[in-house]
Amino acid sequence: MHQKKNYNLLIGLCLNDINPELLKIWKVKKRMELKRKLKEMIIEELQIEDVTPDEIDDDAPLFGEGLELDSLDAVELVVQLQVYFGVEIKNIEEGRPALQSINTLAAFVQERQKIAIDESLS
Amino acid sequence: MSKRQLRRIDHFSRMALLAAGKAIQDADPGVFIKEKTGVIVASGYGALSTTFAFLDSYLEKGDDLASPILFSNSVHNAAAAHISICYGIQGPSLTISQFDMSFICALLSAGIWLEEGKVDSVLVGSSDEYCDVLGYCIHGLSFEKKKAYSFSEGATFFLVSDTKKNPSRYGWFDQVTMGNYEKDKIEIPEDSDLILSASSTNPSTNAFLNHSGRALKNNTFNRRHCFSPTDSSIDAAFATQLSKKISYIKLGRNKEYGKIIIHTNDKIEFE
Repeated sequence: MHQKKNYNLLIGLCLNDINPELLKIWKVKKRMELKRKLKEMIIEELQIEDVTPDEIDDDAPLFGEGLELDSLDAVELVVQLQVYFGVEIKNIEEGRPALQSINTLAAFVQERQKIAIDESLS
Repeated sequence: MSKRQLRRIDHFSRMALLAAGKAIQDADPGVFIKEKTGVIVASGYGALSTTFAFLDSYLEKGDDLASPILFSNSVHNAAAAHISICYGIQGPSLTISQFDMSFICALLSAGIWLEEGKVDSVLVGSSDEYCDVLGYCIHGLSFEKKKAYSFSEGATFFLVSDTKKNPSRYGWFDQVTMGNYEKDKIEIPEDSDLILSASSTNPSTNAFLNHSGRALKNNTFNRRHCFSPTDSSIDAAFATQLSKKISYIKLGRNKEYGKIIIHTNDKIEFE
C-alpha cells in the first residue's frame, strides 16, 4: 500500500509541470478508471451476479433503489474500500454522503487519497 | 427467487432452502401454515466453505478487515433464518449442532414443540456441506489410518405435524430417543427392519450389536461409512422407501446413539 501511494505521489509531482489541459484529461481518465474499479469491486465483493459494470449508472443511488444495496452491504463496502483503496470511512457522517452513488464514492476516494498524498508531502 | 435475492445466500443455506422448499411443496395442503410452523435445522459442521472463507479474510487482512458478509453467513443459524424469510415462516426458529446427534436432537425438539402446542407443524431437517479443507483433512485421515473415508454433502427436510390432527401422507416417526448404548437398554422391535449407521471412524458397531443382542440379520442394513454428521436425516428419508417399519440407529461418538422408529404408509409415491 505504501509503495502504491509513493507511485501516485511521483506521478502527481511530474504532472504539475505539464500542460493544464493534458492534466485535466489525465484526471478525467483517472476518475473513469476509479469508477470502473469501484463498480467491479461492488459486483465482486457484494456478489451481484445480474449486473455488469457498464449497466451501473454513475449517478444512480446505491441503496434502496438503483443497485438495491442494504445495510450489510454498506458495512462490507466500508471494509472493501479500505482493502482496495486504503481509504477509511470512520463514521456515519462521512459514510452517508460518500455512499450515495458511484460518483460520490469516487469523489470521496479521490479526496481521501489526495489528503494522504498531501500528508506525505508535509 | 431472483439472483439478486439469492446473492446473499451461500451454498450451505441454498441446499437447506431447496430441501425445505421441496418438503413444503410435497406436504399435504393445509399442513403448512406459515404462522403456525417452526423451523429446526440440524448441522454437524455448519457452513464450512463460508466459515473457512471468513477465516481466510481474517488471517489475510486482519480483524478490522474481515468480511462482514462472510461472517453473517458463517454462523450456523443463517440457513434457518433464510428458510424462515424465504417461505414467510413466522414460528420459532432453532439450529442444532451436536455433530452425529444433531438430527436426532432436532427431531426430539420438534416433538416437544408439537406436544407443547407451540406450533402446528415443524419444518425439520439437516444440511452439511463439503469443502476443500474438509477433503484435505479426510484425505490425511485416510492416509494415516490406511482406510478409505468418504464425505459428501446434502440436505433433507421433513414437514412434521401431529398425526392426531393431520393424517400423514407418507408415514410417521413412532419413537425418537437418544442416549448411551452401554448404559441404556435399547429396544428394537423384532418386526422392523434395521438400519445401523455408524461413523466410519467409529468402531462401535460390533459393540453396539453385542450390547443390543441383535445380530446382523438379513433385514439389517449396516452402513459403516457415514458421509456427513447429519446423514441420519438422509437415511430417515430413504428408510421410508424401504419397508413399512424401520428402526434406524445412529451411532455417534462417546458411545452415544440415536434411535428413530419410522412407520410408513402402504403406498409411497414420491413426487
